[in-house]
Amino acid sequence: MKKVELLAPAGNLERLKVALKYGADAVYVGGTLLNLRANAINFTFDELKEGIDYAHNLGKKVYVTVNIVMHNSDLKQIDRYLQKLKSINVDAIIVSDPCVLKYAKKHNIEVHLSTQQSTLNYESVLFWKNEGVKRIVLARECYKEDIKLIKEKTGMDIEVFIHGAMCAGISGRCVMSNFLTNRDANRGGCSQICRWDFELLDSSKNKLTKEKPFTFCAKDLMMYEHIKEMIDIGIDSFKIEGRMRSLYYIAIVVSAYRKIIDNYYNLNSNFEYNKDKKALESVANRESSVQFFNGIYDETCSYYNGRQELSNQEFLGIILDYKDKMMKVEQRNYFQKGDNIIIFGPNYQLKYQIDKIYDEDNNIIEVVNHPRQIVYIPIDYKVSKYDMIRVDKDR
Amino acid sequence: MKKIVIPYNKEQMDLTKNLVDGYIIGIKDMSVNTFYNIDIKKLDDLDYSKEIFISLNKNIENKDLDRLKDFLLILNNYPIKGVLYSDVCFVNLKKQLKINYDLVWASEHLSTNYETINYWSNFGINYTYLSSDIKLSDILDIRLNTSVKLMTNIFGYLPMFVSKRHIVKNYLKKFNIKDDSDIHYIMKENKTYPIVDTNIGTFVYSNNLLNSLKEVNILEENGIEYGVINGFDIDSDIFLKIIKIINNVNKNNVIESIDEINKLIPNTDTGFMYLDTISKVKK
Repeated sequence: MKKVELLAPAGNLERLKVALKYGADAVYVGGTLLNLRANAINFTFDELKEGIDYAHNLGKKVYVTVNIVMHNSDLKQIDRYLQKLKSINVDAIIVSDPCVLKYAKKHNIEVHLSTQQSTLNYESVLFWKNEGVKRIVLARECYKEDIKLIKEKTGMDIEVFIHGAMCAGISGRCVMSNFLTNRDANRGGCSQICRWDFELLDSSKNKLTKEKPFTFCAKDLMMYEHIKEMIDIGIDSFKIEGRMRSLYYIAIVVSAYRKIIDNYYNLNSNFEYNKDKKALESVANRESSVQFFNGIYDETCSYYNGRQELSNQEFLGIILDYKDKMMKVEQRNYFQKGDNIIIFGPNYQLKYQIDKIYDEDNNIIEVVNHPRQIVYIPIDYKVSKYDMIRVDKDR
Repeated sequence: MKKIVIPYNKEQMDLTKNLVDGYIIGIKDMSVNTFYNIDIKKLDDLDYSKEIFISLNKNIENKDLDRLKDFLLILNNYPIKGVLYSDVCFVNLKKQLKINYDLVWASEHLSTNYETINYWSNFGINYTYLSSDIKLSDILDIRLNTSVKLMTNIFGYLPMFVSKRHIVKNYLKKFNIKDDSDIHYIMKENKTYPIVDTNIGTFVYSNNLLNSLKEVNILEENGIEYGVINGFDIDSDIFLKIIKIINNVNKNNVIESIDEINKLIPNTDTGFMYLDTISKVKK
């Protein structure tokens, strides 16, 4: 039985390594050119090469986004860029503009069609299949029955979003960012106008807005409770949204989905369903729903709490090394001696009370309050690089 | 350059029938960003002495396919000039159904470069409706690098958002607001944007109307085949006056013509004709 792929976002090399460590089978990343997250850190070419080698050594894959809608001035970069991507053995590129296809064929690079093409029907999938596209990232507006029918009628490799932020509009058909902020939505500059508040006026331009401002804002997507159904209808790859997301977010989300997917295949009776769902909710920016999957896209899918996003300060630090029963930690939020913490990795979590903290000059300190401060904490349990520390909320 | 109109209603069509070369007409529940959307059974009522383009440009779902195939076959029996589409399935269906009219690639914001236009041309797509968010220089560069017939907007509100969601209806329902306007506006920083929530989703338009009067002659001289004039949310009598002004514009009266239009409709600009968009805001 072919196992569904868990595909995670990685905004930089460190996040790529974290995503793979916490259970992603593949990651998607943006290079410095032609990708839709122009404002993410993105990968230099050397970092891309390192990331791809790192993934391949683990038997995992890296897909590079070449997913902007090209303007004339972008065209001259495509050939050379794809040649370079081929030279470092990229597993596939994610493309939205079909003008890229001939260059991908020339350099023999596998193509996945981006969700920006908003593919919703099997005839379109058959067209792309005939054009040599190997995988389709379906439109987020697809219902469960749509996905099932497309899979049955085409046999195409299908990728579907399972978690993360949602656009309010149909991908590729929203350029509000261009008009309102002069930032090009289809070339990586989206300023997320759909998160803004507006006044709503009637046809005579009288205000209708009452207790909450008008917004386009959609709740986030969370398919955690539908993973079994999604595997059963034959989806090939589960995609997590969020190349701008933090290390901690990636670790928590990837880890939760990894466990539930493995549970499906292994029938693991020790699976802690509620605990992982709670962890997912703890890193959410806003409320979640299954959006279009069940064919319902009414007001329950919208988010009316304005631009308020939940701030997550429970992530305390990332472990960089473990030597001589001492863990080297890079701080992410304030903590101090005596704090009750949870140390966790992909397959374990450990409750711990911080007894001693040393700074880089081996001085004992009481608090860790500088951003990205490096400290050392004694611990007998053997932790490893990219394990993490969070607040123990139960204590 | 031929002038074709996206009419807001039947009245605009009737008033302009002797003044323009053609129309883009929608079909009920199959078209986005058209406003005079007829039942497929009413095709006999159209005046085919004008170039008639039918827009079937919604995003096509599996459940739409059978109906779409029926419509495409019905349209084979009418002397239409072409069908505007956005969804890729049309390219397959053109071959399957032996369609005898042209298809116009009209995906609104994806038709931004000549290589992609030529890509579709290889599949027999001989017309492209250019994106509303590219510069005049890009339009002219596309012209130089493709033989496909090109349509571009020259006047009217520009589409900037399409959603399957009922964003206005959901908001009104959520907060129990009674209102049955068929068009709404959203306002931010004293700018208002028309928003329309229909059976097939929600569409939003620019706050200013594009007025490319100054560019009409340049587009014409450079061989752009069609200039599209959009009548959305414009009073019919004013629209008629605008059509007359556009028809009479020439190199010698551009400034006066723009002034005349600004007296009729003050909120116009040149859209993205001279505006560079940016994609990266941080170093």
